[in-house]
Amino acid sequence: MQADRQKIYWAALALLVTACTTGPHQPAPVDDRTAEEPGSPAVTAPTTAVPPSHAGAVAALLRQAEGHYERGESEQAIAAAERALRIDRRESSLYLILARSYLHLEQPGQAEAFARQGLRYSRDPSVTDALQKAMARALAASSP
Amino acid sequence: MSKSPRKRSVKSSRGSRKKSTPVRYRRHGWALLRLWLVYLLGALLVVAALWVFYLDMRVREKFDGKKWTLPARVYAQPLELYESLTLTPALLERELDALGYRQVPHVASPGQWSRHNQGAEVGYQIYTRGFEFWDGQEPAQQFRLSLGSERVTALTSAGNELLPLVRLEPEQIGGIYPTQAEDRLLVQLRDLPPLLGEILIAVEDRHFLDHRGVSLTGIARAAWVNLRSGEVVQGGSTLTQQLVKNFYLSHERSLQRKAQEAVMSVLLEWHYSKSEILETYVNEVFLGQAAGRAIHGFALASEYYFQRPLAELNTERIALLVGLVKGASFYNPWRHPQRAKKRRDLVLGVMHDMGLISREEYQRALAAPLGVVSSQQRAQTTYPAFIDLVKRQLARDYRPEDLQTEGLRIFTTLSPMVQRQAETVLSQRIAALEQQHKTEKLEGALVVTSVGAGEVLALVGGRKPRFAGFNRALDAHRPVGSLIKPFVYLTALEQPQSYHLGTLISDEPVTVSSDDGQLWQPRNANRRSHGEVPLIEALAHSYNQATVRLGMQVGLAQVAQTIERAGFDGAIPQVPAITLGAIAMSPYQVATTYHTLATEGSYTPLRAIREVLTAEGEPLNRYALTLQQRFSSGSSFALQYALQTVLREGTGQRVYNQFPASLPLAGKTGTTDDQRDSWFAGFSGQHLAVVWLGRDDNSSTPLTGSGGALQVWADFMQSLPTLGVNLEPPVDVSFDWVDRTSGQLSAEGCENAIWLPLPEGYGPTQSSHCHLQQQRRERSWWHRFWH
Repeated sequence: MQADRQKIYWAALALLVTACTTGPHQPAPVDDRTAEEPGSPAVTAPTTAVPPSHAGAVAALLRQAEGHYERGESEQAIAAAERALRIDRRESSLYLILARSYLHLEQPGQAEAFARQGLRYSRDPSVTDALQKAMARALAASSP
Repeated sequence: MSKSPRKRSVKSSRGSRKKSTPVRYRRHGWALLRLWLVYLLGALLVVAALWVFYLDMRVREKFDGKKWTLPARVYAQPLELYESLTLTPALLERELDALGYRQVPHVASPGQWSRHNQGAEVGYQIYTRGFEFWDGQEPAQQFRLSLGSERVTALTSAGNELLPLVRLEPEQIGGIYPTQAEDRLLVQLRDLPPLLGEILIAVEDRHFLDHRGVSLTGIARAAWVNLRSGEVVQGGSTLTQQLVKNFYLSHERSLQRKAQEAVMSVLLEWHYSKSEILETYVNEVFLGQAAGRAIHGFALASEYYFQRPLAELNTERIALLVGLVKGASFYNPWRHPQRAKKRRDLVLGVMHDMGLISREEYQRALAAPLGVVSSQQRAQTTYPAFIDLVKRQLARDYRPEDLQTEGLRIFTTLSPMVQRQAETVLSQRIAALEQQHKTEKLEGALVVTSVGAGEVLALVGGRKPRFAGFNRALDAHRPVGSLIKPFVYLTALEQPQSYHLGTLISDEPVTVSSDDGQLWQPRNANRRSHGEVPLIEALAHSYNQATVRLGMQVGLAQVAQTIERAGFDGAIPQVPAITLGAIAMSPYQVATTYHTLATEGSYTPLRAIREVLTAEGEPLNRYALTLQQRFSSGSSFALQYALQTVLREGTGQRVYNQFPASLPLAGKTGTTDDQRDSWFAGFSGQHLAVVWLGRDDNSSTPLTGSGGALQVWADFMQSLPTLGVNLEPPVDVSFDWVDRTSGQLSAEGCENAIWLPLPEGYGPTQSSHCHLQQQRRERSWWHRFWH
C-alpha cells in the first residue's frame, strides 16, 4: 500500500517534471529568432493553459489505465484514460493507452485516430516513437 | 361408495309412490339431505382446494419473479476533485447542498462537511458517502480540500496524505417513468437501520416473528391497545397481511377479499422466510405521493422526505417514516405537520417503552423538528431539456418499455453545477434585455459542452428551464448568420499554399449569380466597403462582402464540405448565401460544429451518456469517446487565433468588458435578417457554449449577435471558473509580422504590421517597405496582452 502510494508520487513527480520542461503546458516561445534578430519581439504565450499541478490526478489515472491494459482489460483501460483526458486532453501518454487498447480490441480505426491525436501533442520522443508504432500497427491492421 | 345409496334412494323413491309409509319417507329424506350435504361439502372442498392452489400460484409467481417494474434512474456526472481543478466555494457548497450533505462544526460521518478559513483560502473537510460506479466502488472517505483563487490548491486525506483524486456521488437528476408510475429504490434488509426494522415490527406487527401470516391474538391485542389509547396505534393486520393487500390485491373492502388476504398470507409464510417477507414489505410499502409518481419503500421515502440515504437517518426521522405507514397522505408532514408530529411522537413513545432508545434520546427526539426538507428542495429538480436529449440518444439502443421497467442506471454527462449557472444566466439576461429594449416574448437556448471529450454539460431549452415544452436547444432550427463564416475561412486556410490569415481579400461590393440566374448583392452590416483587407480582419469584423467573395473563390461545394466535416448532419443548400449563414441549425448542431473548431480540428460526436448499468450494477453499455481528425492542426490553430481576434478587436469585443485580458477566449457573433436571430458561439480551453436568442414566431427582435446572445455567453462564462484556449502553436506554424495593406512580410514597429501565425513553408516571402509607426503602438492584441 505504502509502496503503491510512493509509486504514485514518483509518477506524479515525473509527470510534473516533464510538464515543466518539455510538456505542453510550458509557456512556449512562438518565435525562435528572438535572441539573434533585434526587432523581433520576445513574445511568449501566457501561462493560462492547464497548470501542471493536476499531474497527480492524471498520473494516478494513467497508472490505473496502464494496469488495466497490462491485465488485458482494455475497456477499463479506455475508461480510465478517458477520465484522465477530461482533466488534461493534451497529455499524449493517454492517447497512447487509448491507441493500444483499441488495437487490443481490434478496432484499428479508433486506434489510428487516437495515435494521430497523441502525435499532435507529444513532445516526448519515447512517447512519439510509441505512438508512431501504434499508428503503423493500426494502419497495417486496417489495410486489407 | 357414493353410488349404492343413490341407487337405493332412487329405488325407494319410485316405490314410495305406490306404497308409501311416512317413517320410511322421512328416513330416506334425511339420508338424501345428508348425501347432498356430503356432496356439497366435497364439491366445496374441491373448489376451495382449487382456489387455494390458484392463490398459491399467484403468491409464488409474483414473489419469485420480478417483483416490481423499476423506472430507469438517470444520474448526472459526479464532481471529480483534484488539485488545480477550477472551482469556487460557492459552486462547491451548492453542489454539496444538492447532494443533501449537511454543514456541521465537526465532521464525523458520511454526508457531512465543515468549512474553515485558512487566510486567503477556504478549507473544507468533507465525508463522502461512497458510490458504486461503472469502474468500481468509490469508498466513503473523509478528506480535506483547500480552495484558493478559483482553484483547488490542496487535496489530502484525513491523515494528511496527498490524494490524487476524489469522486463525489452523482446527483440523481430524474427517472424515465411510465405515466402514473410507482417509484422505489430497492434496499436489502441488511442495509436497513436496525432501529427502523425493530420499530416497524413493534408498531405494525409486534408478533411478526411468531405468527404464521395471520394472528387472532394480534387482532385482539390491537383492539385492546387502540381502545386504551383512544386512537388507532396498532393495526389488526399482520405485516404479512398488509404486504399481501398492497402487493397482490385491490383496495376493495369485502369479506371475500379479507379471506383471500388471510389465505394468501398463510401461503406466503408457508413458502418464504420472515426476512424475505420483511424485505419485500419495506420496499413495497406506500409512503407518499410526489407529482406524477408514487413513493414506495423506505429507501426512496428517505430520499424524498429528508434528501439523505436511510443509513443517515436519526431516531426522529425513522419514527416519522414508520408513522407514515399508517397513512402517508393523512400524516403528510408538509401538509399536516401537527398531525405528522403527533404520530411521530407516538412512535417515539413506543420506541422508548420497548427500550429501543434511552430516556435522553427520547426527550431529545421529542423536542426535535420533523426534519423534512423544505418544499423547494422537495420537488426533484428536473432538467427536461437534457433528459429529452438523453432519451433521444438512448432510443438508438433501448426500447422505451425497457427504460420504464428494467431499473437501468443511466450515467449522463450533465454537470449540475454548469446547468444551474446556465439556467440562471439565460433567464436573467433575457429578462434584462426585455426591460432594456422594452419588448417581450424573447426566448433563448443554451448548450454547453466540455472541450475535448465532447460531453454535454448543460442544455437549456428555453427561458423557463423547468418547463418541459419546446426544446429550442435541439429543435429550434434557425439560420445561423455569421456563425458560419469561420467555416468559409477554414476552407481557405486548409489550402496553405494559397491562403493564410494575412492573405488579402477585397471587401468591395460583390455580385454573384446563383444557379437559377438570380443576382445577389450582399452588403456589409455597416453599409461600408473596406477595400483590400487581410482574411483575419475580414473575419474579425465579420465583413459580408469579403466573406462572400472568399466563399466563391474557394468554392461553395468546398465550403459545404467543410461544414459537413465539422460535424453538421443537416441539409446544406448549394447557394452563395450559405457563405453568410443561410443554413438552418439548432444550437446543439452549432455546438457540434464549433466543438470541432475548439479541439483543433478533431471531430467528436457530442455525448450525453457515459454508461448504462443494469439494476444490479452490471455494465450494459459504455459510450466511449471517439474522434476523427478532420482539419489540419495548422489551419485549426490559425482559425482559433482569428476567433480570439474577434473577441479582442472585432465584433465580439464586448466580451472583454467582463473578463480579464489574461484569459484567452474565442468566439463568433451571428445575426440574421431583420435581427430575427441573435447568436453567439464561443469557447475557452475547457468549456464551449452556444447561445441563441429570438422569438418562437420567428419575428424580428431588437438584438444583434453582440447585443444579445454575446451577453448571455459572457454572463455564463463569467459564472464559471474556466481555462483559457491553447496558445501553443503546432510545429508547422510560426508567427511573423505581416503588412496588412500588402500581405507581405513586415517587422515590428512598422506601420500596418500585424503579428500572425503562418503555415511553415507557405507564408509570405517578400518583405514590404517599412514605414516606422508615427505613434508607438502595438498592432497586435497578442502583443498587447502577452508581451
